[in-house]
Amino acid sequence: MSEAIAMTEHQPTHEVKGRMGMWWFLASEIMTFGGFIAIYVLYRMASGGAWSSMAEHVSTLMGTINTVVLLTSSLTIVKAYEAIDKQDRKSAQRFLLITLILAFAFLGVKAIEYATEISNGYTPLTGIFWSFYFVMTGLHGLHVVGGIVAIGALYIMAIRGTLWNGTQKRVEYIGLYWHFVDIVWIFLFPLLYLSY
Amino acid sequence: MSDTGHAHPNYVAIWGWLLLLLFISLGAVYLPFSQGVTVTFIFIVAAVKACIVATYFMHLKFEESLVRYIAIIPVILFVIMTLTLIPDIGTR
Repeated sequence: MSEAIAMTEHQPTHEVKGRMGMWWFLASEIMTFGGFIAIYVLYRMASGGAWSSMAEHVSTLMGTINTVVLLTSSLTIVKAYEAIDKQDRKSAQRFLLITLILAFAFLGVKAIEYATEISNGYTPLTGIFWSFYFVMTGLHGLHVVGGIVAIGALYIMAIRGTLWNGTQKRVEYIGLYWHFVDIVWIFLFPLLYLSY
Repeated sequence: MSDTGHAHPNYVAIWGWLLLLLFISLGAVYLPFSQGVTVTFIFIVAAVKACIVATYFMHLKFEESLVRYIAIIPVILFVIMTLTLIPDIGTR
């Protein structure tokens, strides 16, 4: 607790509140995704070979591409944060744009995957694996959409020049959120694409 | 030095490690081990990746202990929740 008090002495209160608020939100998000993951693992353990026969129809290649895309977007948003920290506005703007493009790329790959799967007859009603697959990737996809809105807003602020008047810490907060979206995918990838 | 009060690690090198771990977990699928061993290994690698992202990209390494508690407690709760549900499988 004394450290928390010491922290407020060194940093403006709104910065402490912003970061704490984001971490608190992410803590609740861990339980949201954790609930799905726990139930998925239990169903997977309780069912036998039928699960594997359903799970082997997902595209590991597409999943791998999207993992690389998200990991890279985590790098670019943290580079944007680093650039802001070093007062390098141009680099910050560029890294925000690259992150935005990568986020759209992720959704694009996911859309191709969904279209292929549905056209092959795999829908949320096909079986328990597919129900989990569409709900978990769908919820994660909604988080990606949320990230796009937030990062897009930061990028617009950056090109308008309004990001630099004390509001640049938002890049750090949105960055935390975006890294969390990446971490969720780090677990969804082996759960859905590798454990057949 | 920056106004965050902490140094920035080499983020590109960290990204390289994350990609390496991704390809290690992909390669593990093709190794001649039982499914149980492979899945356990893949999830250990995933946990390591998540820890790297949280530690360096999310700067938990440089955070105050209060923030670390906020991050770690729900992870512990998640593990407890999963473990307490597992006996349910045996009663089916």
